[in-house]
Amino acid sequence: MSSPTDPELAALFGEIPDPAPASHAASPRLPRLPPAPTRRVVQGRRAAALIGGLSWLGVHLAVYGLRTDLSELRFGYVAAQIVLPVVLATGSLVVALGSAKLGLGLKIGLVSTLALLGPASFCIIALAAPVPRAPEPGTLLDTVLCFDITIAWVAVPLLCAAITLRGAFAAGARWRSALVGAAIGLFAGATMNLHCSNVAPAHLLLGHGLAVVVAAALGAVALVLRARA
Amino acid sequence: MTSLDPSAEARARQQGRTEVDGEASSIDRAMSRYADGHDAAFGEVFRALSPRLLGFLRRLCGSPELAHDLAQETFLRMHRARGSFVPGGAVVPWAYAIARNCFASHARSLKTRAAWSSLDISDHEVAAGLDSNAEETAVVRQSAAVVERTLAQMSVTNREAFVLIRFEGQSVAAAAQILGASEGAVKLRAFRAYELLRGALKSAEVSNGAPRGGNQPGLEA
Repeated sequence: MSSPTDPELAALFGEIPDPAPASHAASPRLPRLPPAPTRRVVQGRRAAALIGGLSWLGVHLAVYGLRTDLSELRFGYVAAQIVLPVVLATGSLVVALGSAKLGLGLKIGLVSTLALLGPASFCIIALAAPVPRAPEPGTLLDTVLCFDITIAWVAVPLLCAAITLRGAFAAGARWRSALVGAAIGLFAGATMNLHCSNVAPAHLLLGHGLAVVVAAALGAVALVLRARA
Repeated sequence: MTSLDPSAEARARQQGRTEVDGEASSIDRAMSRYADGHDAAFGEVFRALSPRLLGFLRRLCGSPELAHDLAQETFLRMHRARGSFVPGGAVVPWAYAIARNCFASHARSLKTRAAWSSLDISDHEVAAGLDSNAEETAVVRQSAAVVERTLAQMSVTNREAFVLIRFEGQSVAAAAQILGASEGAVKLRAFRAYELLRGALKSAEVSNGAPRGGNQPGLEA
């Protein structure tokens, strides 16, 4: 059986009477309006936040340094651990902030899929990607340290997003905010993968991947409070 | 009973759609100007959207007073978020989405739950009972009361999907965008709401058909 079209639905639903016809409505008063940024200001702030967030990661990477074994790693490993998260993060940002025909953002199915897929793929790759060499015996402290640093790398861009995305999402705000969080987490996770030379899957999962998941969750829980219009 | 010539009806519908489209694009342009910093354009947006948002919120929350407050809150949020209004975007779905967010925030509070519980449908009942000469009016009012009460009792997700499609004239695709859900989910929710409303209206009809000494048990709170 085919799904009913819009006119068919309208005809079907038409039998239900309107409980609040238009004649009952009286106009509200024009509210007193506080100053609000214009589109140009908002776009400028968002561009500044994007540059600031990426600079935050770049500067830290420059200070902490690239991993020492980068030149010895196979291309596939680098592509899976670094290039793919960066591509996914960029795509996630584009999808989260993109607008469709009505200006309410891209389809929620795509947004929610990406919000789950990004962090999940990062964690799965961390666990399942072939290890380039025998992992060094690491300590729990190393893992906690990497997690802490990755979370710190996530925090500032997330704060920038919270400041500049105020009222940005009128519809599907929770998923879109989660996607922004996931994108930030993926950028930070990829940066950590560029810095940390530990190849142990458990370390990659808990030290780097968990922060990506936390970033997406922070987006869904905290960023949404600011980003929902 | 009126029977319309199908081609005339189609022409009328097409004309109505063109007028609505024209009006919508004019509000869209006004909102776009406002987003660019032309403050005077907000008056135009406000005048054009007020009745629609009031009606939408009234159907969602069931209380005219609350709908008034929520409409004001909606305009305030639209103003704060004007910089996020996408160039070429449609202001009506955007405003509906923000109004729905306002309603959702209020629906979570205890205050609103109290407002719901005190939702007074007796106006409809009294009017229907007193005006014994206007049987048709009474039936219409009674049906409206049943719809209002059933809308109030169903889940918010089902209610908002149905209200957008049935009363606000939004397509399933637009309603899905406004609600941040898939088209299939929105269709399903609206259908569930429709089934509930149809059932309630039917049982009210059955109740009225039985001799009950002038009472209307179908409308009891």
